[in-house]
Amino acid sequence: MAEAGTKLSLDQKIQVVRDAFAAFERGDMKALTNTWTDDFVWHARGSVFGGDFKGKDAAIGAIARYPQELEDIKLDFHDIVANDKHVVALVNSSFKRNGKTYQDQIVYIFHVNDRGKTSEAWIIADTELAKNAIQS
Amino acid sequence: MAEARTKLTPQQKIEMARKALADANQGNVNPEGFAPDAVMRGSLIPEVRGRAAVVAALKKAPANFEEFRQEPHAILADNDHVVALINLKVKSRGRTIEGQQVLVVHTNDQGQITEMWGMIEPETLKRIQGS
Repeated sequence: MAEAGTKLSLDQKIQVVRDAFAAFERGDMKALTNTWTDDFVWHARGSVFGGDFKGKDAAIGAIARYPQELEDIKLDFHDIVANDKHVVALVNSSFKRNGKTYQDQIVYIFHVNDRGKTSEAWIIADTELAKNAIQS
Repeated sequence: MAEARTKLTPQQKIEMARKALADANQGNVNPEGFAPDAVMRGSLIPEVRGRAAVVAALKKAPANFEEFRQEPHAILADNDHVVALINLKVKSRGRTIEGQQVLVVHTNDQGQITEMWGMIEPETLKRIQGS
């Protein structure tokens, strides 16, 4: 009954997501990727750096662009909601670009397996706002 | 202990959301599902305030399309929020556009929507707006 022994509670799945955000915020990309399965997919069509990125290397390459191209990124949890299959994080974000501060509301959706690894994640954000910031 | 009797559980809120989406697919919007001072903002609708305005906007938006269906992929809830992950299907000028939508809802203890925020995946939104 190994599966039963490793099944996570909703609070534990939420903690996996909190840990991933914490790793991103402190710039620890190795810790971030350790929260992912090997075949992790980052669905970022709803983001300024859009696309679907399959595999850890592709995903971290896309995610690393945020701190490279945006300054002072802040991600504040408004709420995190979970069920057996999904963890959804409602996040108030802000970042600076060329001295201007931009604020946004973002929804992140995660599939977290029963071994505490995230296999897929989606981001839906106000992409136009962020694109305008990048292009300004 | 009236408050204890009227406070809805997250599961009850999920069931209400599921029914509201099913009703909306039939073109029905129940005004009693919204608080008098409800606020809604979203990708397809500018911010509207007040129950009557919100209900009118929700009825009007699908009317712009030949088909507008919201099929819930998952609905999650806690004490503060209901989040619906939706597979959206819109038909406009003969073109069918499919994508993902997220509805984030604040409810009061009676399950009435006080604030609703709808986001559509940007690529899908562009295709809808360009159709």
